[in-house]
Amino acid sequence: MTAPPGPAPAAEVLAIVDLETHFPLNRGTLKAVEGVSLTLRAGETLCVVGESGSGKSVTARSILNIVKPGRIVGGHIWFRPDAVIGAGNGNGPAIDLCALDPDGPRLRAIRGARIAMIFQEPMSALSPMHTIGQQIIEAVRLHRAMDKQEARARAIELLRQVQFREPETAIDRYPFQLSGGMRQRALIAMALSCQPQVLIADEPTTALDVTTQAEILSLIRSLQQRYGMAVLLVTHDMGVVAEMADRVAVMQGGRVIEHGPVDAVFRAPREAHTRRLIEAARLLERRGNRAAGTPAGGPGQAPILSVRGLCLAFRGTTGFLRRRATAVHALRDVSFDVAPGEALGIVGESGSGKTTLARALLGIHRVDAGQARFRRADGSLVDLCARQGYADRSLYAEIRMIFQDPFAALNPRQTVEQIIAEPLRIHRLCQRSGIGDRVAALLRDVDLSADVMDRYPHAFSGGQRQRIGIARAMATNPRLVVADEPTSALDGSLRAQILDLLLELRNRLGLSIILISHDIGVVRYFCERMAVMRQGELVEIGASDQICDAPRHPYTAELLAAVPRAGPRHARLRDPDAAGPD
Amino acid sequence: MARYLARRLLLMAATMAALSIVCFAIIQLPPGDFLSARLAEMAGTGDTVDVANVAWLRAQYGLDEPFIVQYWLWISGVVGGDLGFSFELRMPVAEVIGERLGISLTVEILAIIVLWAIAVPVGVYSAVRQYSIGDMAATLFGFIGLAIPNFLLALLLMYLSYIAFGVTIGGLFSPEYVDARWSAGRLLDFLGHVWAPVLVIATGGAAQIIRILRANLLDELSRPYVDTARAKGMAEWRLILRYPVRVAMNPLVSTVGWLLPTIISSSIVTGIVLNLPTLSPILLRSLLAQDMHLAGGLILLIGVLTLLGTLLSDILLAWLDPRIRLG
Amino acid sequence: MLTRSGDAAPRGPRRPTGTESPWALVWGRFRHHRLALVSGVILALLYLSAIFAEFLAPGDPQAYNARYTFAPPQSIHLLDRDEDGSLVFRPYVHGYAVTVDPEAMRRTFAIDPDKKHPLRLLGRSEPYLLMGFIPMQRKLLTIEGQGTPLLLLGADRLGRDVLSRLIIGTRVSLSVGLVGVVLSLAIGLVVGGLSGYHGGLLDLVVQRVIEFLRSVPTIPLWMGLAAALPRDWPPLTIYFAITVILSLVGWTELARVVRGRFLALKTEDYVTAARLDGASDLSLVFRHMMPAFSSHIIAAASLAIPAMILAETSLSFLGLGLQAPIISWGVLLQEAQNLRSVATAPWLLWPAAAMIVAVLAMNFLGDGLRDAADPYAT
Repeated sequence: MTAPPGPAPAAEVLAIVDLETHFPLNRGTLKAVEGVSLTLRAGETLCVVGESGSGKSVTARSILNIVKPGRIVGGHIWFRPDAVIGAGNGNGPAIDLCALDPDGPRLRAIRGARIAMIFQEPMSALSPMHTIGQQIIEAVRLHRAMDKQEARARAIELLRQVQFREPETAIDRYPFQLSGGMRQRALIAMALSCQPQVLIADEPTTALDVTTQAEILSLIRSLQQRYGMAVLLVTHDMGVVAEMADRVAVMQGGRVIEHGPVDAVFRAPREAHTRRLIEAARLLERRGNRAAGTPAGGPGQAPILSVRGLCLAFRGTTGFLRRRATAVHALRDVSFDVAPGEALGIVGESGSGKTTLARALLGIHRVDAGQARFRRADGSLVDLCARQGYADRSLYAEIRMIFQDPFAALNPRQTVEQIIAEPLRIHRLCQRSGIGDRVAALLRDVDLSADVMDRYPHAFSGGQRQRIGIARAMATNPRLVVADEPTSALDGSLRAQILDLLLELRNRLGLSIILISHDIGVVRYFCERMAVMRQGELVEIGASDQICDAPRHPYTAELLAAVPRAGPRHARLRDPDAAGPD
Repeated sequence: MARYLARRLLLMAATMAALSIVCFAIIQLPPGDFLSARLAEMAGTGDTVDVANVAWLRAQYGLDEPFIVQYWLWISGVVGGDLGFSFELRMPVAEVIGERLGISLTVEILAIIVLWAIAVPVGVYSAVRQYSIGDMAATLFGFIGLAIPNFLLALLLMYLSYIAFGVTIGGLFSPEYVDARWSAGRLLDFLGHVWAPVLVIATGGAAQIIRILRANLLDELSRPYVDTARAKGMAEWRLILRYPVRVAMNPLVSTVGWLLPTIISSSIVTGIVLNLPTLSPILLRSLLAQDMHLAGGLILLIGVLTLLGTLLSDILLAWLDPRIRLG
Repeated sequence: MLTRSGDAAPRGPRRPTGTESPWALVWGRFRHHRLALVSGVILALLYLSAIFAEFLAPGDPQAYNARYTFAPPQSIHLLDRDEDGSLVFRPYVHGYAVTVDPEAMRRTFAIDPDKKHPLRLLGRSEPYLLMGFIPMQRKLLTIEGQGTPLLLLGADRLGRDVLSRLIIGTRVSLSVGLVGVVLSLAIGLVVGGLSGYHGGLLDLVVQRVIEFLRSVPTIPLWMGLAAALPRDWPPLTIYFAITVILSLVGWTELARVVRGRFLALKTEDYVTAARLDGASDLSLVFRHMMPAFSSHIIAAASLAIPAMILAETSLSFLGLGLQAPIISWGVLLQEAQNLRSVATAPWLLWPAAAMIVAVLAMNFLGDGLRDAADPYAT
């Protein structure tokens, strides 16, 4: 089996020509896909990449005509059932999938059997009321004449292929008993049940942690080679593209703006948008424009925050007659220091306790043990995690927080001015008459115009809202800012903008920042030092560059290895499967 | 599951205790007690009053004791099967109830069956074919069920059948079968009568269930697992019935918990208007006559039956939902 | 793609400024709900007629006249012929020709085409007190000639004017719902709010109480409580006692809504953000949480009113709620309990029609409000 593209181009198993898919809106229509043409060759991987709203998912869904309430209004999707790797073009009849009745038997005979699809949300893509076995067996029996016993055996075999441990018992599990990664594996098993020629994967790893993502991607690749499937992978992540793609199609505003072999696109992107996407992904592989050394002060200075032995367990009870205490240890003996003017990054996967740590420092969660001594502006020390930690409300002016979801963190019923002025008002930081001017100045600091003051948050995009959130945090001239995943809800190109804005503010104001992220790239870009968390424990802490170049803890190494890099050559070198000499 | 059951049973026991206190409070609410009311009435009509008998009854029911003692006397009797004495009907409450309980339950169970038989297909159809003519009709039916109270529906039904056919519907048996033994003829006669109350009771509940099922199913139809099933190549109706309907039915089963009180309520009103030989007319009569032992006993019984029904539906739900069964 | 997009420009046409206040957005959404708008107008008319009931009712609702037992409705003729035969606008009704059927001992009514009683707008009437304290001597519609009956919707068993009784009954029936909901809302807000905001043991207890009240069939409970009211209480006291009884169950739903909202809002990021701004508990509740659910509460309350109206009507119909001389729709429908009465005088069912219209209108209005309540939902 040779990896395409070979000298003789493989047959085109799918050819999308001038596809147009529209969605009805309350007023007018949303033209999600406008004239997309793509080809997918037998056995190859085509990545469709773009930011949210670019039409990439709708394009993928149009292939099997699963676009309700939208409608395919124009174009063709030619499917060649007999296309095989290595054969030339034009052999055998092609079926236009767009011409088939979306609910009719002819399209149904192709769905799942010839072309299979997996979706983004493994949590909700499986029926919660049926075991994964029932759902896989059904997929098998829909297209194959098998009795229940045979189908079950086949389902167990499929689960084994997607690396379920003990597939004989796992088959009777319900989705809620499985982790996100396991559910995505079950979905892949379902998709493989009839050995399709084409696998469409719509952001299959977006909802997963980075280490799980790496496992799923390598699973998809090994299965692809085993079955000779063509894979159409939809993603927003240039790193994933680099890792997976043979060819790549870049989408923007419902159109394909660039289409070609992955090496060529990465080496010499033709379109500015493509270049931006690649730039944004690569940006996070190096350090940002951090000020040299530690600004205000030096290494010898007393830390502004000194955390010692923080422990926190979320307790619940199960059972009624015999109550059993259950405890999830979110923080286990966490200790670190933050120097004045320093940015400390805390990186970890979901469930590692990093957000709990942020909330404990802000007094939202009570800790079971340990302390967090904060040096106030007047030099006095206060334990943030003590019961009386925030009894003095003026402390809230010195320590501020930036939230993850810019849509949730702003009160939709307040104007921008009211939102930003709220801390000014509460802490009486300026004259009533001066509030307007101060808010305007803060808005200018975050590169927003001052005349947006009387608008409500719904008038702004995600990036703009995050800027408003930053302005609110800066309003009190804080000395320590805790930023909890400030960029993870934003598209790639915006991420760097927001980070640069934060860096600029930090360098100018001499802030100390604790930046929390699941993305080791973000932390490396932003922070001098980073701490790696796993299951409530700090496993490693040190200078960012040092940790990224020479991790000491095996988990840190694993985390670093799992991050897809936005350079194809780099990825190929690391990947034994793709670089194999066969 | 066993733990869940134990928890539900314990909760129900507590609820029943609270219910019994409320019922007894209702018995106690009217000023004076029923004996003095009865005595006044008898004196008014010139009946002779057996003083010794009255004193005995007074002692028996502890009428001169404080509330808590009276409650204890009453509740310990109730637990032992003695629901007290109906002064209006001059017979033990338990006997009055025993005569009519079977018919009451039969009518209610029939109504529930008819309700689901109407509501589920209509609800599924109107969600899957949203904004179709059938959906509009179902919505209209839903609003009518919402706005017309049971007594009015029963009244209208009686009026219409009187105008159209000259027949008075009401009761559950023709005169010749009222006291007859069960036979094929009596059964047919019963079925010829029972449709009216069953229809009236089922309508209000069905309207609610259709609304809920439609809303639930519309939510479920847009979930990713439906697309997963589509991508497998399943036929549309088959996948709808197998996945989203299955999921949407679940919260519905739990709504039976609060649907049941509504059904019982409407069966009471309907029973009164259509003058059925069920517990309902007796309840009204006892309340109007302030025959409070009978009324309190009836309300307690109705409440307890409702709680049992709710428990059954909860168990059914737990059994249907793996998240509860295994969680 | 149809999910909330990260930084895509807001979809669809949107007013460029983004300065609409939250209530303006709610109104904007509500306006598109035609049925709810129409219902709102109907309800406004109904409540207005409840307020000005004495002025609108052509007759005295309590005046009875055995001669007109079950007299059928008169129809209004708008045009009359003058002496010279030309048509003029002069509304009138015909009188009744009453014959007594000696065998059946029943009166039969026929229209007497010779008797024409002209109608007058804003004509003089017996003195009366509008809303119980404004002395008035004019009514919207009067009939000329002393002692001539004006029975536009017919008469009942005692020969009383169904229309006048219906209009007066509107006042009690519609206000029972309103008063009951205000009461329920007061209880629901306090209990639900405390339970949701405070949590802990209090929440547990409140939850159990609500569960209990919802697990018991309401009608028998209401019936039991209503029957236990002393018979010798004055009508107004009975009226308030009945509303209290109805609210006893009605508050649970509102408390549930309030509690649910509180719980949901407590963990909203923007509430946390306000807390981290240093805002006090009171400020959190009143500046940040209340505005977010006040529209939900209004919607829930407007959906609770029709249930109260239905409950009052049902109870009164069964003879356990309000009693004559109070006039409510339920009390009026008591007259229709007897099948024979309804068969001879179907116009006794007019109160039922009024009730259905009111209840439907309230449900549509409530639905419209509920849909418009959260203008920020996607």
